[in-house]
Amino acid sequence: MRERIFSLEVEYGISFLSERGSSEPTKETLVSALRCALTDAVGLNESSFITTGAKFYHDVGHAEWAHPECRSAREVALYDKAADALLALLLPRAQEFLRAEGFRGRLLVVKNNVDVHGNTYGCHENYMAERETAWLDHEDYLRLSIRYLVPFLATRLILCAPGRVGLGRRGEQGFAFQLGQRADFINTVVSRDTRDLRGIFNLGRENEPFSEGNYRRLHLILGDACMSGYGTFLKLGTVGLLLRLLEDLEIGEIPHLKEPVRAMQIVSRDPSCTALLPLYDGRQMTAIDIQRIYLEQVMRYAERHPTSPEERELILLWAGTLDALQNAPSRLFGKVDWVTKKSVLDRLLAQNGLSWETPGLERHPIRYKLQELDIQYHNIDPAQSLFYKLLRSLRGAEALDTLWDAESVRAAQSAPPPYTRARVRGEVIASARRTGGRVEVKGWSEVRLGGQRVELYDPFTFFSAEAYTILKEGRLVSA
Amino acid sequence: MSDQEQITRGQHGFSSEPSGLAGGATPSSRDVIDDVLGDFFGGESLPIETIGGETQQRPELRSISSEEFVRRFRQETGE
Repeated sequence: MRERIFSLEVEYGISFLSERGSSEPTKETLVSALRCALTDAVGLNESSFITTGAKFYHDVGHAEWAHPECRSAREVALYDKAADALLALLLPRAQEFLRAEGFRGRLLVVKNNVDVHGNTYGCHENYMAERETAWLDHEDYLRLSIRYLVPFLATRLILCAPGRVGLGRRGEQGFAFQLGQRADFINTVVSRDTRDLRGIFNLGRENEPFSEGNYRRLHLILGDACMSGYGTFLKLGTVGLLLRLLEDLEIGEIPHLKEPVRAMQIVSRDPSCTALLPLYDGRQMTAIDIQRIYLEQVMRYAERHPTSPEERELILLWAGTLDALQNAPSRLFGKVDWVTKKSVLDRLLAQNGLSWETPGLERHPIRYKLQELDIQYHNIDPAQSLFYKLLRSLRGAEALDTLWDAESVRAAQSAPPPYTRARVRGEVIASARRTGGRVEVKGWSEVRLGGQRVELYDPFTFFSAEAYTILKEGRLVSA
Repeated sequence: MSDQEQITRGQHGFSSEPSGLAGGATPSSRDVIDDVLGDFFGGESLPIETIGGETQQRPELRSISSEEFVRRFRQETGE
């Protein structure tokens, strides 16, 4: 399948640093303040959707941003960065709403996946995928997909993880650096929900495909949020490439991990990327070795099939990233989050004559600075964020991302992706904002204009004659 | 050079700098880090215990078939 929908659901950690004497707002209140600011800028009252086609809402203690349907991994990386940038722009407005309610202080939004109390929140990936193939029915194809993708997923942390200080859910297993944020929370190979058992491979949205027909939704919950667009692009793009191989049944032999969950934790705790992972057949391989086997299969596939410029770019990035990890990881500074973050933390330790191996580091006062940097890396506010401070030093004051230029990021804060149904949804909302017309957008696959229901079941639909006729004829009755 | 040649050479390290993303001539990472760390802790420190949220909780999903699938998968693999 060459045409695919990609999307991402990002859960932001939110907090409020109250001024002395001010009361403490609930998480729901904080999300409401952000949502009010967002509605003023690009949204509609009584709807969680905005003009980009994205959805923003409160989800059990977090602010959740469900990105609009995108046609490529690169496009998701753009909308992911645009969401961060827009939220950052709206922080002062959200604080005004809070102040009006009697809450004085500073609102913080961090794009990470774990806090020091051992709570985790997700960054879930969604891929439109085929349900069954010419040779395999749904169950067998699912079985094949799991078998094929699990070794890749368990080792892909080296490409795109954000880095974390602390081992174990609450840091109880040691004070050290690890690549992944959620690696210690993934405890099974396959899961069907996202609660008690979190799987490398999740079946939670199997029955919620993007479209009717022979489609399923691959919903991955193991991933971490990336600050760097480079990481988001690699994270989603490599999975998209492997889905092509799977759907065309052009997969080769892959190394099967003996204990995939354990292997993922080993990879996460090995910044040298040299740890040997036991395989089912008795051999051992490093995460880089395993990733190279997948890459070589993708390259062979690309020799036989047409590929898009983006897919060719991805193959080059994937190869370049693995080469750099093996030979000169510092070349990934400013691109791969865990490499960037670790470089800063290592330097702070060195400046103080310390290292991760220093006995008693967990009791040394510097631990608080390391933990603060670990969290501030993910602050979405460019004035506070370690990531953005580094990015500006590397690429100039205007830089917002490692992948997309600032102008594109700004445009994607209000305009929808051009070639999916998000465009219809977004333009209908934009029209209602201009005219004050009556529009309801309560789901992903339909809009109601002036009381008339317009279905958007095909996610590739970017134009609805029905919707535009209503808009053109001004049949949106004012609210 | 064809795309395939580019891809192959990238794999073998000839063109492994991710194209278009290198950012041209940039300051060294050491200089950048020192510059940023130099004034990072100048202001008030962040109370890290206040940052974060609640563990994600989602209701059970209603698909019997995926539940059955996971049950069988675990049984077969001894997970």
